[in-house]
Amino acid sequence: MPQSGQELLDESIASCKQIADGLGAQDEAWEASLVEIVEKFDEISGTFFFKTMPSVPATRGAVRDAAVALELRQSEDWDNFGPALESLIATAQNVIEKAGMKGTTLT
Amino acid sequence: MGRQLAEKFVDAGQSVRIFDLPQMDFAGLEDNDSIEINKGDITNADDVTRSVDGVDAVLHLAAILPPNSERNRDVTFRVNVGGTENIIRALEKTNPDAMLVFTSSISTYGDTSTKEPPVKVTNSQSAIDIYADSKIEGERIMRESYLTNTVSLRTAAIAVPAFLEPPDPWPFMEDQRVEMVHRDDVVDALFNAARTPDAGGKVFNIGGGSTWQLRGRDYVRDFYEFMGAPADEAVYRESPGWVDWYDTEESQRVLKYQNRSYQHYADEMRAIIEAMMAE
Repeated sequence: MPQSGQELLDESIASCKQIADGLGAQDEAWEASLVEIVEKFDEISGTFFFKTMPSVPATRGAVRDAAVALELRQSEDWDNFGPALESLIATAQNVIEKAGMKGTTLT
Repeated sequence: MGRQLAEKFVDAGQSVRIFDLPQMDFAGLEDNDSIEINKGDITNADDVTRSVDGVDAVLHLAAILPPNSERNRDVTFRVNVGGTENIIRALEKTNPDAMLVFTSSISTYGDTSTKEPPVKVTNSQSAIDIYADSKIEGERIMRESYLTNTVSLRTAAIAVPAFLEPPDPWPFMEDQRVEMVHRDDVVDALFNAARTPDAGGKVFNIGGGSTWQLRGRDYVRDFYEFMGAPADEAVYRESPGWVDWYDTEESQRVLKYQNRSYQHYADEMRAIIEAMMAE
């Protein structure tokens, strides 16, 4: 059975926490960015958006980018880690914006 | 809807004055020579008098809607009733023959679930919440005014074709009769009401028509299907809400606004979700 948007978000959060752990020793700004992503993802976790189909492509992108960044962090490939983190931040921003559904279907 | 209406009037060659709170988003409207923006507060009589001065028709859409309307009765009445009264008094002074289209609500009928459908405009009104009470009072003030050309549109719950949160709870029970109306059909009804002399002095039910007459569970099942979300997430009211099926024969005959079937809305919703999936 394909993963739901919520499951993919949970996977992204777990990866981001792994990447952030101890990253401050290499670059404090990188760690701060990842902590912010985790905080924002925790805030929006459980909302209606992550039960819908349109949440799947958005969160799948976050899982993919987080996996790439995690691999680079584990191999200490810092030259490529910076751009990968930039990509993850952009993908995370997309998830956060889409989850910020406003209004209701009825008025 | 106000923005859509303004653009519709401009397209029809008419000039429009928009009155709204200063903090509202007027982007794209301020550069149009046919649109005058008048920023103010509907609870301020002077602001309202300045805004209605010299107009042929007023389309009054300003209101605090549920669920916000249920938080503070005084605030809701100040805006929904006091604001309506300000418009009426201003028109009485400046132009009592101007057309005033008042956006009322089918909520004013209260719980009609034990009555035989459809709900007619002659049905008694009985508020079960602050919002409905404020609309009944607004209608009363308008009915007792010196204005000669008024229309009340008792509008059903408006379905917005967009990727939006479901209400929590849905404003009806699972097996309750439900008739909503497409947002763009409401815009058409308002537009035509202001331009149709036969509408003057009338009260209309504004609903989607026969294709929108469903049971609560059917509407909700479809909604969750569009979203690709599990329908068992839905939370319904535990007592009947103010939705039902409506007699819209006269409103459709006079205003010709039922232009989007439920199937049309369903197709729009599916297209919106498909576009999001492709992003």
